[in-house]
Amino acid sequence: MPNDHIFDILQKELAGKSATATKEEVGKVVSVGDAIVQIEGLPHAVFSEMVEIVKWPEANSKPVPALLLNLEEYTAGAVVLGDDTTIQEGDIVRRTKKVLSVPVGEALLGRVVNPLGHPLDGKGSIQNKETLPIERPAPGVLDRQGVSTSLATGIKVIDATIPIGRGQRELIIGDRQIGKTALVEDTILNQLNEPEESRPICVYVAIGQKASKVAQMVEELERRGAMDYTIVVAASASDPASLWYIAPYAGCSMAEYFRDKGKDVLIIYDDLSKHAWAWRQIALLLRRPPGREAYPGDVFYLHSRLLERASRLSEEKGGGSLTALPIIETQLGDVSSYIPTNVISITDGQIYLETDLFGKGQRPAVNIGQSVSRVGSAAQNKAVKKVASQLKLDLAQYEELAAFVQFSQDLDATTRKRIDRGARLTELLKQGQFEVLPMEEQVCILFAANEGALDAVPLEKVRDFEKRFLEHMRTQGKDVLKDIQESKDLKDETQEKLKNILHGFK
Amino acid sequence: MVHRFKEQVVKRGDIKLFGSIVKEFEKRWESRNGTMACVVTPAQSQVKKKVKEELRSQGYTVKEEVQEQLIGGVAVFLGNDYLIDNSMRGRLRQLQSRLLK
Repeated sequence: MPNDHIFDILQKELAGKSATATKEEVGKVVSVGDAIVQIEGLPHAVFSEMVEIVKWPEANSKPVPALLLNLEEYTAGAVVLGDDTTIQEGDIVRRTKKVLSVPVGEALLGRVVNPLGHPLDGKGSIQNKETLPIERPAPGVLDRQGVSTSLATGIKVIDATIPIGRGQRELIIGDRQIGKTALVEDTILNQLNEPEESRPICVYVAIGQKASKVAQMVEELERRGAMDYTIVVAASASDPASLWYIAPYAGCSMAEYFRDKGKDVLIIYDDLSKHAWAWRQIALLLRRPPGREAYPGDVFYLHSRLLERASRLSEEKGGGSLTALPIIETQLGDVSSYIPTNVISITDGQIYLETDLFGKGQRPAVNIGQSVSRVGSAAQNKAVKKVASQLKLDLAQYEELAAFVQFSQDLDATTRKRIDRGARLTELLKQGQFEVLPMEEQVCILFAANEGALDAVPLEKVRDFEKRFLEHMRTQGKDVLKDIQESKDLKDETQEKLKNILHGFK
Repeated sequence: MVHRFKEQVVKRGDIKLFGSIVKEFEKRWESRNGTMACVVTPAQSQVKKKVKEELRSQGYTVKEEVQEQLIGGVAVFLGNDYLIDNSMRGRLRQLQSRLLK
């Protein structure tokens, strides 16, 4: 009989244990609505504690988790992190005596989870005992060091003109449907080009995104083998606002686990404007006073405390880094509204995507003039630095002269040349989705452009030239590519070799 | 203060409800102060009487409630703040959580 076997196990497990009377602190639900519950009781509950709402004494009611956000003399306000339709007045609220925590660890890699760490991908439960609270203090001044290594995005225009360093916070800002998500997706994919020991772990936090979009992205990442080092934290559009609110903090704690182990981590918050909306909704329902655009007073602190957790740790602390790429969606290019200005001032620079450029076919639609990286060339390696300085100069001169393009007949030869060069460079900086380039190939093609190899190529043939040249490099210039990749520098003799290859290629 | 409250109620024409207002106030007051105890048992219970006497001697106002789902034993709510659970259902739940660990 199989039953006897089970009885045996039960008897062994439970020998010497007894269930006795328990005394516990409870509360009672006095009102519920819009995912907010008011609770009476819970005399010793602490702020941001997880509580469970149950039907007492029913046996099979599933506890609904909630997060305490308001503590008053006799009552407490909590947001429900789940389905609030089953909660009734008079339900019992149990303390868990834990502040809100999420599972962390290697087991999460390659998984899609919700902000509470529950799997959404149907690959079974996550076998992990370690947890971290979602709200953790940011590293202090002494625990940090300056940003000095680059985080390659694989996108020419960004790596050359707006370099991102490991441990930096770089905002990606632009209107809807302009390729913000495509840009970060490429960045995740490009980490495949990094050597495995220094490959950053990626955490993608989707806040209020369509579930179909997230599914599509996960599928794409999986197909290209990028899910092995990626965690996706998804609070989709139909999830309650409370989950949107905790999603970035939960994702950040999952990322910090790896950072504290001395690894490099990249975290993407897609996007923080929806996060601010969620917090506005919760704060208004908790009856906190509204401020500008009806956002609560702490909406700046909401994002500053989150982004301050991005850091490059000192060697004593393991030397890990957490790079944050928050995304902000603007309305009609308005970067001067409340949330965009807040986040611009918090981050170390922004990548500004523009509708006009997108419409003109410039993709990624990065406006180089308006984008900055405050860490700057400190985050570039020598090879890129050497080719990028000339590129930046040429582009800046082109911007200045671009207004005269119409009357190009009347211009003198040098000005014409500059305009031609600039137009070709702009053309060269176009890059399709999923066409990420490793650092050494970027260096080669930009070097070729600086050498004037593109000047004789008709404008519409530039991208074709690039493709053929890189193909040629992969076959004929393997040693050059390898040298740049290993030394991360463009030495004089390598430059000579590269020139020779360039002359031989037409 | 009580006088002013009475005036307000008269003004609103709700003086007929004054009795139930006072009753409701007493109930709230007791549960806030934690001096209201609610004894929950199944319909047939030997311990109910003893528990009630004990609670009364400690200065609680005692209320009782019948919940068949407890199966056996007794559970006591002290105000809104504490739950002392010695019911069969509570013990079974302890067992369940221990086995799931």
